[in-house]
Amino acid sequence: MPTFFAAVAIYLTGALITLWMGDRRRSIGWVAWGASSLATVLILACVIQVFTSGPIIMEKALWQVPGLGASLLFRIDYLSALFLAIISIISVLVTLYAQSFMQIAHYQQQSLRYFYAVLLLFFAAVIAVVAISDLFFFFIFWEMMTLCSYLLVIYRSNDATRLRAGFKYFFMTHVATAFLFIGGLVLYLHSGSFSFTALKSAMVQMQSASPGLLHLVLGFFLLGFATKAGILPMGDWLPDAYPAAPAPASVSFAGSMTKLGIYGVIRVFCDFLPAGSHSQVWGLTIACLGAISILVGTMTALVQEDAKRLLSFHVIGQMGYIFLAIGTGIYFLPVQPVLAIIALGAGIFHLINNVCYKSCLFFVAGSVFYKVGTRDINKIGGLATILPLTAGVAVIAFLSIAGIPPFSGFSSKWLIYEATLRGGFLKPVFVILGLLAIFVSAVTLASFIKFIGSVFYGKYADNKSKAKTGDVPWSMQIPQFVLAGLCILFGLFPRLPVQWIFRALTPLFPPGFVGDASSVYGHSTLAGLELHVNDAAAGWQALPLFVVFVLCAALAFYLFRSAKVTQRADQTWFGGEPIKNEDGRYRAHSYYLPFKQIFRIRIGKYERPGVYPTIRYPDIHLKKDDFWHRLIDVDRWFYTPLVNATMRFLRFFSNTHSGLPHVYLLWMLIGALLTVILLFAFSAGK
Amino acid sequence: MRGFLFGLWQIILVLMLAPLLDGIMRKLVALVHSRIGPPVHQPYLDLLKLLGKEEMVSSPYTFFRYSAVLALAAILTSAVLVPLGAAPPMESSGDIIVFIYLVTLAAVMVVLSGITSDSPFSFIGASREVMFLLTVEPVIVVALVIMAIKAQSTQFSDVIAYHAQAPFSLSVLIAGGGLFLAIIAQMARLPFDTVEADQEIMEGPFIEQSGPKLALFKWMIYVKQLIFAAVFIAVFIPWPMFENYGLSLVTILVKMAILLLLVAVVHVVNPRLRIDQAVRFFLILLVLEIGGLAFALVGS
Amino acid sequence: MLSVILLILFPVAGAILSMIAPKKRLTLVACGSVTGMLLSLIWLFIQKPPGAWRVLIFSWQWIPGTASQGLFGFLLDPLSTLLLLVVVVLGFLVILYGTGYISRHNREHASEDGRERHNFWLLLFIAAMIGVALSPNLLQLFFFWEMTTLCSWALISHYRNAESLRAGFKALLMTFSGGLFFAAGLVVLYVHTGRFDFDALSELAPRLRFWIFLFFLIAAWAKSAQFPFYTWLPDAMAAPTTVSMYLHAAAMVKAGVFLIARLTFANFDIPWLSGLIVAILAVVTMSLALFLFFTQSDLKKLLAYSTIAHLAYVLFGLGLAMMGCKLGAYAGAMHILNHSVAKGLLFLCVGVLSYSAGTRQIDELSGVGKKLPFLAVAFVCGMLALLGVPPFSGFWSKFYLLAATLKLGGTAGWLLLIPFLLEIILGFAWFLHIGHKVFFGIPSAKAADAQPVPFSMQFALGVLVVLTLVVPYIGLQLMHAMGM
Repeated sequence: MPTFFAAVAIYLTGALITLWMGDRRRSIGWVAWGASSLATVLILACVIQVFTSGPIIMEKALWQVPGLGASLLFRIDYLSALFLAIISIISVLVTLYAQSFMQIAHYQQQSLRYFYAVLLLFFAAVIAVVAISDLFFFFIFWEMMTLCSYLLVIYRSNDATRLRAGFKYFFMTHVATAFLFIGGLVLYLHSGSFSFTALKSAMVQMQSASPGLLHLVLGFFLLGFATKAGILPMGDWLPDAYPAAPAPASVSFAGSMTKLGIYGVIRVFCDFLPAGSHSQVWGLTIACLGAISILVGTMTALVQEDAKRLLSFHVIGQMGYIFLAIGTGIYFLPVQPVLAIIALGAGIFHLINNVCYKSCLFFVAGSVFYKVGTRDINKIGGLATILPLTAGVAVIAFLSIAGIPPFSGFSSKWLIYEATLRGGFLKPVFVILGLLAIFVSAVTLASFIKFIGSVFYGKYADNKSKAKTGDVPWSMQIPQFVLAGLCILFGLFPRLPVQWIFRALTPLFPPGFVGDASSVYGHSTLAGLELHVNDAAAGWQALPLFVVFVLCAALAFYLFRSAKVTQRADQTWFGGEPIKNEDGRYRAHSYYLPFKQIFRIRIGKYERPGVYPTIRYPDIHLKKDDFWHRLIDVDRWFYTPLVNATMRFLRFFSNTHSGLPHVYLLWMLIGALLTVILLFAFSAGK
Repeated sequence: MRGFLFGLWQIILVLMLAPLLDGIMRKLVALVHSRIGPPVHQPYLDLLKLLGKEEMVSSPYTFFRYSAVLALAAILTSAVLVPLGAAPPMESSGDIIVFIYLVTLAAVMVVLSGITSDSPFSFIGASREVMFLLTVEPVIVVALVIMAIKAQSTQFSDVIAYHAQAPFSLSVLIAGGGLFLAIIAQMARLPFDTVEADQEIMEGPFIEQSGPKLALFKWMIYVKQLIFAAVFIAVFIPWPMFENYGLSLVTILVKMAILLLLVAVVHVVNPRLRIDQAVRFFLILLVLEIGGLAFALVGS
Repeated sequence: MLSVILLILFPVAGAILSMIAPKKRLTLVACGSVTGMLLSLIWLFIQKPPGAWRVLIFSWQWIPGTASQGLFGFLLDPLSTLLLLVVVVLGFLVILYGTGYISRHNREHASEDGRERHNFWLLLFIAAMIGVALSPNLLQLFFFWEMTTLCSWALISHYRNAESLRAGFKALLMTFSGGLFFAAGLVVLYVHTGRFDFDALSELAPRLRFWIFLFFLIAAWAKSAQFPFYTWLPDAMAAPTTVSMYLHAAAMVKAGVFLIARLTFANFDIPWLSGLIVAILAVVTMSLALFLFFTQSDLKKLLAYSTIAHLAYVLFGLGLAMMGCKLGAYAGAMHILNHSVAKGLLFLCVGVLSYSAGTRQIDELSGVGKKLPFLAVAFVCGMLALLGVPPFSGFWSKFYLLAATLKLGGTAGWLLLIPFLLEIILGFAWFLHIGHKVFFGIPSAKAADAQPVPFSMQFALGVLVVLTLVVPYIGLQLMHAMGM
């Protein structure tokens, strides 16, 4: 545990140092990188400790909140360790990438220390969220993370669209957090403590005592977590906020923050909630929400023409895959543990892969922006000649996200398809969800073909001359390479991560829930996955197939070269006409037009491309003089008339002060008479 | 290891037989046209000629040069997952889903070759190829999933074993019909050869391909024809079944010839669909297939 | 003992000196007296270290034979410490801030006239508020209470133009009318129990108790600008920012809720019905203030309405306590401290805007952060503290309030929860919107022209920013000492 605290302290110290450093634009980034890599080493040490010698548990709370059963208590179990590893690695890559990226002219006006300080604070908050074992502080760190990410979204704060995006993001997630808080409070009132163990037992008790209330609580939790995860319809903030943040920040959102929504869901629905009827209801809900996100998010990505916005919609879609898998897992927890574990494992595996390829793609988008200064993919083209390495990385990440074997995305998607289809043998609705996922996988492919084709290939756009020659600096290359390398590694050796995930998941359930990893994923080699559910086997062994593929490629290459033909380089033939680059370009907008025309919303005259509803928030214009204002303006109809009436009344009396002595004499006389009469009247008979 | 070697044998077999199948196809088409047609071994000659031709390089990108190699490699790899006279050689390495995605990999390579060339026609072709992928692939998937659901397994051998003895059912009929139409599209035959569409966009993604590259692409398409024919036959027409490998291989070739005759008839009597018509057609087909899926789920 | 006397004496002496000292020495006098005050507070805390304490430091029976206990004295317990911290620390900062603010360089009110008046009344007011905080019984509380009303009248009318004179008179009239109810309540209480102590209320018959408590409530509503007596507070924004911040956000308006908090903590058996009335009126006030947020074009008035809403939070918590959930009282009391710091910071930020850019109009301001980054940081911190984003101060009390509402449960709890939550969320949205509008974006003409700000003002902002982070932990400890 001290190692973990040291890591947090390093992040915080790094933030302070960067704040203090001022405007040393070159060195400040290295300080941030140094801090995060140091912290990462420590965190990875923690993670290794967890996986070798069991969870790290803190005995005594750092702080007990008075009047509330909440205590600042950390606990790193296997699941936390898994997420910690992901986050820490992302933090190193992000800060490394930011070195050069943040030097571009676009951010020249902004203060870098603000960026790095907030970024490091953000990572501190994120790792605290994962490692905490008390719901109250979980929410506090959660909201601190939201705050930091909001500050990153509005980093270029003189830009109105970014401000709007930041507003939307902060508002939506804040509302979601309010729901989380209420859910947590209701649970707390049943358990008397916010600690995870107490909540676990409270849920067991509530499941039988007050199932309705438990449904409400779970609904609130799901709402909160799904909002953060960018699941539609709650994740509407995402496509606005991601493009608004600088590329390193977008990567850290995609790589760590949105994934914590999944972490929350797993914690609450797998760890706290005992397997039972509640898990079935909410498992199905989660899976359906995931399916909606997959469909809407990815279909919308197909029509996007802004590089980062396109990627953002894919974030929604990919989160949908993870939700689908996790929902399926939760649904089958009480029915078929093996299938449930496979589905949950598939979800987390997809999450890890998603971190790799999505972060990589955001890095690529950042590199493109670094080179050409625009994100509009209609205006870019042929960048593969000046960014050959980045283009290669982009293709790997694209094949991975599209789920093409043997890259990592396929391995996890394969598990998801298998889990949903096998689930479908028991509960038919999952077949539909699984098929939806398969169908949308092709849409993902299509969308990235468009991205790759219009950014890296084809004719040069005319603004190519603006780009500096040479690929991006190595500090931006390395993160891309690392992530692309992970895409290949996890694709060829899917057993490797799956084994760790299995070890992280099983402790959440009672002992003996499922057997060991080999009983679920088969006895095969390091590379392979073999599932045996309901006596039906299925396998995916990447390595042998890859060997076959390599052999086939060698054969094909032999055929290709067999005749030793000559090569001739020449211009493309356009019917003999000289043609300008711009004329020969096939723009991103033109891809799949017939297909896009089919999938569009058309209600009467109202028509919009794509299936994504954009909510226009109404501008509030309240006039000062409407009825309600007059009604609540107490001054107007009550106090002012009252005071005026009093004044009139008093003025009437002041008229008696006329200044004439005989009038005063008259008053005195009347007064004396009245006094005498009253005296007689009251003392009569005495 | 035995599976591996058998897989290599199947790859060689497929590679060698595929042009023959196309030759038969051409002959059949010519028959329907009342022409004499080229000899059955014509595709081999075509390939040989192309392999020896000069290679034109009109685009600087790596994928432009090597996507043909990768495409052929991908489709050959998928051959080890396909039943061809016996159970798929490397079934434990991949099931139906892996097979579908390996085929997709080949399609992706075609698309990449399209988008890495300089000509706008190849972009249009690539775009069309992707649209086909978007609409045809789901049909294939749903058809195969219907069979998988009936058999409660996603492995070819289980599916075949189940359907060889299963009674007739409506959902299987719908799945078979859908897969047949999808296979025509995968074989790039009329009315669904919209991607290449010689007369419209001049071979689409292949317009700038020449020499050995074009040869490999053509070979890839032949192999794809054979593989899809094999899958269709294995899943929907598994009878008659023989224990003897050679016998069943011959049977399969005969069945393939019959299937190709059907394809040829469709090819000859239909004009090409426009891309939007084709997309619509397959989307409607997809809805139909999902109806079939519903039947399968309720058990009929 | 001596420390308490000094605590009151320093501001009083400062007030008197401000009137007689030469104008050049005004700053010195003011700063000296508040520094002395701050030091004596620290001394007091060293003498009586924080813990579970309830010390009657001094007691004097100034009307012989009237009551068993002393009538005049100093009571130091966590609740009074809470208010004392607000009064003294913020008083110190506001005087410091005022030395920079009331100057010729101020763009909005470029005049140094009346600095001595300002300091005199403000220091006197600080003394009066210390008296309120330390009062051991209702009579002394009433005494200082009326003194604060008087100071408020003088301070609101500081600029002596028609608007501020009218606003001052209005404030005086309304708070004083409320004070009449206080007096009436006191008389009845004394007639029936012979005591002025806070817990004397529980000796009354239930029906009478309800009515007497209602009288006190009316006084508190008027003082704390609650519905239907809220109208004086927005008008009082005609005062200098120092006054608005100190009287109408941090200290004076807190006297009203402090009275109710005192009574609630002393008598947890206040009728359920009065609790319901308090809570419902609090919710009504919140909704009203929220509704009025949207039409404000003046930042200060917006903050004034927000103050109204936040005082309603305090009363909401106290109402929950009266309805049976004690946690509410602690939450409400904590909110006194948390809100004072946050709102004080925001007011001072607006003061900086008036000083530096010469306007407080939302429409005329945008992109201020470009020119005055420290101001943007301070404002955003204050805003987040106000809106309840952890780890800033407002979060803690809001969370406790939510917890109390849910703990109360039942129909009343859930029905109260919904408007409360709505207020929190919509208020959040609006303030975020305003913060974006004013501090980010492309600088407007006035924002681009902003002038630098003296150190004393920046210092006050800096201290308050730190306080927004620190203060909840003090509040939590104090409430813990109260028995939470």
